Amino acid sequence: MIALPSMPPAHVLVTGGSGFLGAAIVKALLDRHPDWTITVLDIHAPSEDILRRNSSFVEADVTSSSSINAAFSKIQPDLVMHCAGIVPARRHRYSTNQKQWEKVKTINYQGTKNVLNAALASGCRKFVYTSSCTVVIDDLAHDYFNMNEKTPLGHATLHYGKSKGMAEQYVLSHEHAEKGLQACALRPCTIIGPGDTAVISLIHDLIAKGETYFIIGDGDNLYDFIYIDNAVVAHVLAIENMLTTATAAGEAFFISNEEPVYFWDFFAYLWAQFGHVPRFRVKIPMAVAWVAGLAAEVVTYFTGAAATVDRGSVWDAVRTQYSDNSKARDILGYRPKIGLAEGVRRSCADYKDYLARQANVDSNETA
Amino acid sequence: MPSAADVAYYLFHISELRAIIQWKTWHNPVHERDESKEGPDLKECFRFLNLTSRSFAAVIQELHPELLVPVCLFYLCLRGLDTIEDDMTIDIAQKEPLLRQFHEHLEDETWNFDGNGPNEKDRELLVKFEVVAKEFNKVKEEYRVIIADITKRMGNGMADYAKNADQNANGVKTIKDYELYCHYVAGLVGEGLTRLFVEAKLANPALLQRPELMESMGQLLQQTNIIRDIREDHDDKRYFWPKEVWSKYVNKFDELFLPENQEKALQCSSEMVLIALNRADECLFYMAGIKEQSVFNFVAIPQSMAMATLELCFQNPTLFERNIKITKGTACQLMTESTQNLQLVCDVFRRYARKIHRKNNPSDPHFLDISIACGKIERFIEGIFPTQTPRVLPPGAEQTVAQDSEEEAKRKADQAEAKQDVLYIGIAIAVTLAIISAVMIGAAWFFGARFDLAFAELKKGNLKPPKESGVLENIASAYDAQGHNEL
Repeated sequence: MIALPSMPPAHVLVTGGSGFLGAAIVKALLDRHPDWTITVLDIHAPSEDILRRNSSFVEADVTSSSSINAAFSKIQPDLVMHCAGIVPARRHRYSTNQKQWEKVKTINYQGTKNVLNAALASGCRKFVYTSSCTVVIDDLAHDYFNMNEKTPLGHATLHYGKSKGMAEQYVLSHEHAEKGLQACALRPCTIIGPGDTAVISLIHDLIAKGETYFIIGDGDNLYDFIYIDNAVVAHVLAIENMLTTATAAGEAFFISNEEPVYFWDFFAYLWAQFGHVPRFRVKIPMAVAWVAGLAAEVVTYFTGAAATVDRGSVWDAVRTQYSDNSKARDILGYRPKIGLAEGVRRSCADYKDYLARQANVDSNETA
Repeated sequence: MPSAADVAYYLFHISELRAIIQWKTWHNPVHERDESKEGPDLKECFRFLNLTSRSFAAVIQELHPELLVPVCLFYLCLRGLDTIEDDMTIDIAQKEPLLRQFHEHLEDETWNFDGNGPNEKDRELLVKFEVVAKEFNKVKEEYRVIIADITKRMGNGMADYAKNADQNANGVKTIKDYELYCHYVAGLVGEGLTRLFVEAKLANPALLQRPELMESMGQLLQQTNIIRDIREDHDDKRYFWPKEVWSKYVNKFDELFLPENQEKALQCSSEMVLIALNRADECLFYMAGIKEQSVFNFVAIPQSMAMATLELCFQNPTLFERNIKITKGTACQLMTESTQNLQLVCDVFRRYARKIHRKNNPSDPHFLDISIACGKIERFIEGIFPTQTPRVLPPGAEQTVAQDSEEEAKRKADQAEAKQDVLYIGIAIAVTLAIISAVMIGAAWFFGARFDLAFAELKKGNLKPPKESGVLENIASAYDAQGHNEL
C-alpha cells in the first residue's frame, strides 16, 4: 500500500473486531495509523497485544439494539467498520431450516440494522460494511464469469448470501444517503489465512475421510479466493477513502486475489501442503454426484450425522464463480499484495501448527 | 514418401490424418505471390527464404502484397545476423564488429560475407547477400528505417551476448537475463513486425502504445523453443535455461538429464513452462489488434503452435531424452484453426490451457501457479468472448431487493407443497411395490416354495444356494425327517 499523505487522527469503531477478519483489520489500522483511536466492538475481547495498543474494547451484541445503543452512547466514532457477522459453515451453509435462517438473519441483517441505526443516532456519518460475493453467487443456480458490480443481486437463496445481500442493500439505500450517510460495501470471496479454521479445516478433513479421490464435474470450473492480508488491504483502503475523498460512497466492490483457479486444483494444492497427493482422481459426472448428494441427504436425515456431500455442495463444487475487481482497483486503488499460492502455503503452515497444538492439548489431557 | 511408421501412426490417429487432408485440400491462401512480376533478384530472395525457414516461409509468402517483400527481407536480414551469431567457427574478435555493423551493409549492394564455416547451413545467404541489399533498396523508406533499426539493435544485443564469455561458458544466469536474451532475438522481431503492420495500416496503431504486448508475442515463441530444444541445446553445449531456475532443482545443469533426477527435471521444466505461459493472455490481446486476415494468420499460426508445444513439453520426461515436436496432424489442425478468426484461436489457447491443467501434478511446487496461469488465459478469453450457456445469468436479469417478503413466503409455501407431493409419490411407489412383492411371494408360497428352508439356511450363514445337484433334496428331506422323528 502506498502511504497516504498525512491524515488527521480519526476514531474508528470496528464491529466483530475480535474475529478472523476484524482482528486483522484492527491490527492493520493500528500499524498504519498509530495516532488513530480504534474501538473494538465484539462479544469476545480482543487479544492482549491489541488491547495494549491505542485501542479500547466495548462488549456488545449486534443482535441486541439496546446493547448496541448503550455501546454507542459512550463513543462518537468518525467511522464504523462493520465486520460482525456469522458465516454458516459446513452443512449449515446449505440449510433450509427456518430456525437456522432466523438465526443467520438476526445476526447478519438485524445486526447490521442495529449497528447502522445506532451509528446514525450517535452522529456518525461514515460506514464501511463487509459484505460478501455470496450476495450474488448464493443462488447456486448460475455460473458467474468475471462478475462485477453491475451483476444483479437479490437472487441468493442460501441463508448467508441472502442475509448479507439484505444488509448490503440496507446500508447502501438512498434513504440513508439522503440522511447524509456515506457508506460503502466490500464483497470479498472466500477468505483464507492464518487463524482461519473454517475453510482450511473443511478441506483438510477430506484427507482423513478418504474423500480426496473424486472430482465432481469436469474439474474445469474456476473459483475465486482471497488471502486475508489482501482483504485487509482492501478494507483499510476503503476506510481511508471514506475518511478523505469518499469517492467510494454509495458503492459496492468485489474483492478477490484476482487469481481465479480451478476449484479442484485449489483442494489438491491444499492437500499437498499436508503431504497428501491422491494417487488417482476419478471424475464423477455432475448428475451422478447430485443423486449421491440427495441419497446422502436422505441418509443423514434419518441418522442425523453430518455428511460432506449434499446437493448444495455438489452445486458449489461444479460451478464457476470469479469476479472482476476493476472497480476496486480504480476507486480504492486496490492491488492484491500476496499471491494465492503463497497465501495457501502460509495458511496451511499455520493450520499445521494449530493441529500440533491441539494434539498437544489432547495428549496432556489424557495424561 | 511417408514412412511405414507414419502410416501406422495415422491409421490409429484418423482425426489427425483428416486434419492434414483438410488443410491440404481446403486451405486457400488469402494472397499469393505473383511470380510473373518478380525480378530475378527477388526470386532469389524468396529462394533463400524457402531455404532458410521451415516454419515461416509459407506464411510470409501468403502475406498482403504491401508487406510481402518487406517482411521477407526483414526475415533474411535477421537470418543473416543469426547465421553469424550461431557460427562457432568465427572468432569473437571478428564476430563482435560483424554483428554490430551488420545493419550498415543492408543498403550496400556489393557487400557479402563468405567467412562462415563450411558446415554452416545458411552460409549461401551471406555469400550472396548483395541480392538482399538490391531488393532492400527498392522498398519504401518507412519500411527500410524499421528493418535497419531492428537489425542494428538485434546485432548489438547478440554482440553483447556473444562477448559475455562467462555466459557462454555457464549459460544464462537470471530469469531477467533469460528474458533479455529472448528480447534481443524475438521481442525485437515482434516490435519490428508490429511497426511494419501499423505502417502498412494493417494493424491497430494502439499496439505500439502497449509495447508489452508485442514483447510477449516474441517471448512466448522464443521461450517455447528454448524449452523444447533443451536436449539438443545441451548436446551442442548451449545453455539458455537460466541458472536461477535450474539451480533450485539440481546442483549442476547436466544433472537434469540423469534418469534418477527425472522428478526434479520435470519440476524445473514446469517452472520454465509457467514463465512462458504467463505471457499467453497478452498474446491473445495482441492478436485482437490485427485488422487484416493474412497478417492475422501470420501471427496466429506460430502462437497456436507454441501453445501446443508448451503442452507437449509439460510434464513430459521425453523432453530431456530427445527432440520432441508436435505431430504433423496436430500442426495442420492448428493451422486450420489459426487462419480464421480470433475466437477460434482463443478456443485453441483454452483447449491447451485445460490440457496443461489436467496434466498438472499436485506434487509440483508450481502446481497452483500453473493452475492460476491457465485460469488467467481462460479469464482473458471470457472477457472478449463471454460464455453463453443456460448456466449463465441471462443478460436481462434484474436486480431484485433481497428480502424476506410475502412473495418469498409464498414461494416457500409452494416449495413445501412440492416437497409434500414428492413425499406422497414416494409413499405411493412404496405401497405399490409392497403389494406386488406380497402377491409374488404369496403366489410362490401357494405353489409350494419352501421359505422355511431358505430362512433356516440363511440363519446358518449360507448366503448362496448350494451348487451341487442333489444337495437341495438332501436338505429338504433332512428337515422333513426331523419333523417326522418328533412325531
